[in-house]
Amino acid sequence: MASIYDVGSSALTSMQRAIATTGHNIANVNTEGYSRQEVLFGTRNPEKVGQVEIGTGVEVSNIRRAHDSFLIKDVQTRSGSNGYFQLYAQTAQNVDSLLADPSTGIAPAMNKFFAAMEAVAANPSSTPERQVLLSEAQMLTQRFNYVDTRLSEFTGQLNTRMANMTDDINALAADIAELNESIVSLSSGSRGAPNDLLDRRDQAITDLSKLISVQTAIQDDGALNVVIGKGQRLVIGNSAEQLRMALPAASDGPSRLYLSLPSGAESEVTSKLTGGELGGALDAGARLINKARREVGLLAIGITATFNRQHSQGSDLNGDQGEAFFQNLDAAVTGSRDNSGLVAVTANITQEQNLAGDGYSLRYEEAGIRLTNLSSGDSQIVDAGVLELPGLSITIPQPADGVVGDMFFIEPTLGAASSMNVALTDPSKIAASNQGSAVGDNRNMLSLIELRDAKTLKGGAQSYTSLYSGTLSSVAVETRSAISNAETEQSLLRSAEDRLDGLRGVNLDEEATNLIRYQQAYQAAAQVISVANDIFDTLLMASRR
Amino acid sequence: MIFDAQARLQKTQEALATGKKINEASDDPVASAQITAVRAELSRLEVMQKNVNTAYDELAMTEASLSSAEDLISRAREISVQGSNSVLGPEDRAILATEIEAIRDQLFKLANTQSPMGDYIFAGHATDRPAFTDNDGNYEFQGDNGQRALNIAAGVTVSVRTTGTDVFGEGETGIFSVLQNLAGGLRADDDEIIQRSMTRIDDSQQLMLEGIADLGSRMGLVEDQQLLNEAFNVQLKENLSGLEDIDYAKAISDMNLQMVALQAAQQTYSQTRDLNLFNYL
Repeated sequence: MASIYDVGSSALTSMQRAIATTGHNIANVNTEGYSRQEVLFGTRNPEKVGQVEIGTGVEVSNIRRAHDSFLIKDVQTRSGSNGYFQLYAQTAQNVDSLLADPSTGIAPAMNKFFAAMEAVAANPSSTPERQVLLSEAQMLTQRFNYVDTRLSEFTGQLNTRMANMTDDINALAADIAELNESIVSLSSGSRGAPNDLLDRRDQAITDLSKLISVQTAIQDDGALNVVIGKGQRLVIGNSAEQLRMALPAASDGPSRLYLSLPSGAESEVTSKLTGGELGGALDAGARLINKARREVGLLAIGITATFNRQHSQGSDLNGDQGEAFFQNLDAAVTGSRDNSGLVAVTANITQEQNLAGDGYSLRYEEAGIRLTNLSSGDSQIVDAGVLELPGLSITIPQPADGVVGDMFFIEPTLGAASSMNVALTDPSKIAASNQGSAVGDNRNMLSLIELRDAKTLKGGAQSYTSLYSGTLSSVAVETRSAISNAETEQSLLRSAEDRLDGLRGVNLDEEATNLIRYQQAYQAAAQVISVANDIFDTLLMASRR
Repeated sequence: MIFDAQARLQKTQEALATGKKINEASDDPVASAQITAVRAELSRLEVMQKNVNTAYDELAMTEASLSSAEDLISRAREISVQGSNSVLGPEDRAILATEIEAIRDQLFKLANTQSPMGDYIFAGHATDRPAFTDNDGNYEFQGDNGQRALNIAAGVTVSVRTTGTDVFGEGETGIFSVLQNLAGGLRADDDEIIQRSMTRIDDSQQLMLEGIADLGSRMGLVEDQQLLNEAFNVQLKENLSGLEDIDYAKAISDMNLQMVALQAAQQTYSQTRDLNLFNYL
């Protein structure tokens, strides 16, 4: 028969455990990701004594954590969206500030350049106005250089952050794999759920979803498999893959990310990593920064070519035909670092007025030569030879053995703004007059001034002014919508976190109440043992001779 | 919560201090882009007004020269009428001839007026050399008929110079040759030449007057454009102010509300911070 001692001590033990759990809750009131643990009591199996079943006391049947997988998933999804938009909005703001700022933007420099041209038109044979024009031209090109350099620095900063994120993702993946192993081994048998480990794993997943979009699948043995981005397996049971960030294929190119496979090989996953801060950084680099660089580069190339062309139609103070005012710019072709070196692709700008401002990549594949428009993402297979694109001509050599995998980046406008420069140094060589006319003629300068609003760019649709203000407004609109999305996502995340916290957070008042309850029960149980002791003494006394 | 309230208050305080709603582009990206465009327009307009002033000065300079020239031609006409009187003797006519020659020389100087920068203003584009040359009484125009134009508004140009031959004539019928011939006729006592010269002086005067009228209408155009530009300037400045300046009354009332909200958040925090069952156990 279960003695009264047993009943009493079962209560003492159970209450001790309950108090310990309450203490654990109180100790972890500030721990991030901690789920409040609840003690569940159950009766021990009754014993048959004579005709009746007598109870044998209490045991702790389960320590249950306050948990709702739906609320946790909500927080994780929201963390991902929030992370994405915060990073995207930050980048957008940086680009927008750079372009719109009155001291760093291009618009104020253009205003001064054209004002200087008007001064020369008012007094074409006078030297001081010409000198001012040359110096304003230099300020303009320096401004183009500065804007492009800063934009390229933003890309560099994003790359550094992505490298840090990659390290964090790998560390979290390793943690999750280790936790999976511990959880699986502790969950086997009837030992109950390892609550603290489960909490830690949930927190690791939440931290991971801030960095990249995450899907999880719980397995029968208790392990959690993790898939990131578009279906890329990161953690299977106790093994974690590793993400590696590689140098861009070409300088100024997009970063590349590789994921290891169980087989030991690697696959490039750059386009498959979406969501979270990493997805935000990849998208911001490709869509915001590169787009702005290409547009600014297009303006640089457009101004250089159209200005030089009009300048050459005039004559300078010496009666000579106008030389190049700005240094000529041409399309840049860079080969990937990993190229075989067997073939070389070349490109040149044929009509700058038809350039669309897109960048292209050319890749020799098994199936053929693939041309991808880096701005729109569209790709197609093309033949070797001379390829004519809007404003651009690309010479593609025939594929040869060993050339598969070679990749070339053709960027007519990206980075062009960094190379913009004034070629003329002698003020007397500014061709303000029409050809064959006298030095008091200002008509070529007037024609040059007209270029400001003449629709000479993007196939005759844009002028210098409209192109820049178009770029500025589209960046502004994207920035505004990014900021608005970021604010929305942040408040959605906060509500989701509040809801989760409401469920699983430790409420000190509740724990205090429980402490008192369990302590009283403990004291009462101690009384039971004391009574059992007295009964035993009484029995001993009674049986003494 | 407190952090948010502080951030909002700080933004309002910044706006009050600078007087501008938009202190960095991200405060309102779309309005910032519009502000950049309006500022560019204002800057262009400033340049146009500068050109307006330059144009007016150039035209006024030409007008001064032509006005003096017209006076001289009038005087020459008077002399020619005098000289056609058959009562006059050769000595009298010789005196008149000398006066005519003096007028011719003054007109020649006016025709080669230079601007303060050294341009010969009646030479068209060939501003580095005198408009008219005198080879022993042979007067030739060595400029061209180029018109110097200035931009005084978007799509509006005005010619600020007048070509010498348009007002002084050229060749045999140019005022210098006419006066030269008149002087010769007076000295030679040749009535026919004198009569012919009188007619030609009338024509020359007519040409000069037409030139002056044209100049006057150009100056009127420039004055009108200055007023239009100024009106546009005012409108643009209003646009700019609407985009970037704060409404002080609204901003101050916002600030008061935000301060109250911040105080409430801070007080709530300090009051609820100590409410804990453990204090009572």
